[in-house]
Amino acid sequence: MEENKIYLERISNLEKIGGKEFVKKMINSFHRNVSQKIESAKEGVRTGNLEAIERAAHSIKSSAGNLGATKLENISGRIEKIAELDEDINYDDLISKLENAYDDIKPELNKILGEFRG
Amino acid sequence: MKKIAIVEDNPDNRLLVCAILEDYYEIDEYETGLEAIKGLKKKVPSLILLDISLPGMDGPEVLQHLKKEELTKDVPVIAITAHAMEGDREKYLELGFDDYITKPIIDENLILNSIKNLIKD
Repeated sequence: MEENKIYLERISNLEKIGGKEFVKKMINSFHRNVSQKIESAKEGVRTGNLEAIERAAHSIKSSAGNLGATKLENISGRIEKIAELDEDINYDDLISKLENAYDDIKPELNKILGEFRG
Repeated sequence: MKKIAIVEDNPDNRLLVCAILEDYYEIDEYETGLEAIKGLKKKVPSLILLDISLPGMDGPEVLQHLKKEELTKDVPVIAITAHAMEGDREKYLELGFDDYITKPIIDENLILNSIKNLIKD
């Protein structure tokens, strides 16, 4: 099973680019974007709008990639592809997995924010 | 400072690109293709970073508009894409892009060097 953790080399890379404050900005921006896009994906499921699901998953994939949240990146990439191909599948279940993957990395991201608070 | 425009709907990606480039270039940001087409005519940059997968009007469509416009037709455009398969470079060059970079942007030097190669002094 794929481990759900942050690839810390990616965080180090962000720190090299813009320092600790920049990493904090990226993490906060990530939370805003991913939360918003998960809601967009859920709305897409409610209304049967596969394009909305695809777009939301695409955005989450990109944001997750920036922070090295590999499992979230992979799940959202799969959802993006499935929605693009218009597959007849239980999207509720997929979005639920996506949300769980996001929830699972929150403690680690909070830990990074805490380390950078000093 | 020379000006670079970034057309990208994901705010995290815009934040990252701005952080990489802001010490070297002035940056104009656009969230949608339509916004970019209107704005770029008024504030013509030295180079455009253009996301392929924009909502509504996608990157290639935006590029077509830019190439038809006198003010922007000669501005170099780098595609930003999540897809990096064999043959993709040729595909983007055929579409009219001058280069491409893949997301996630991990190596800042790739984007900086790509821009340096295309921006004329």
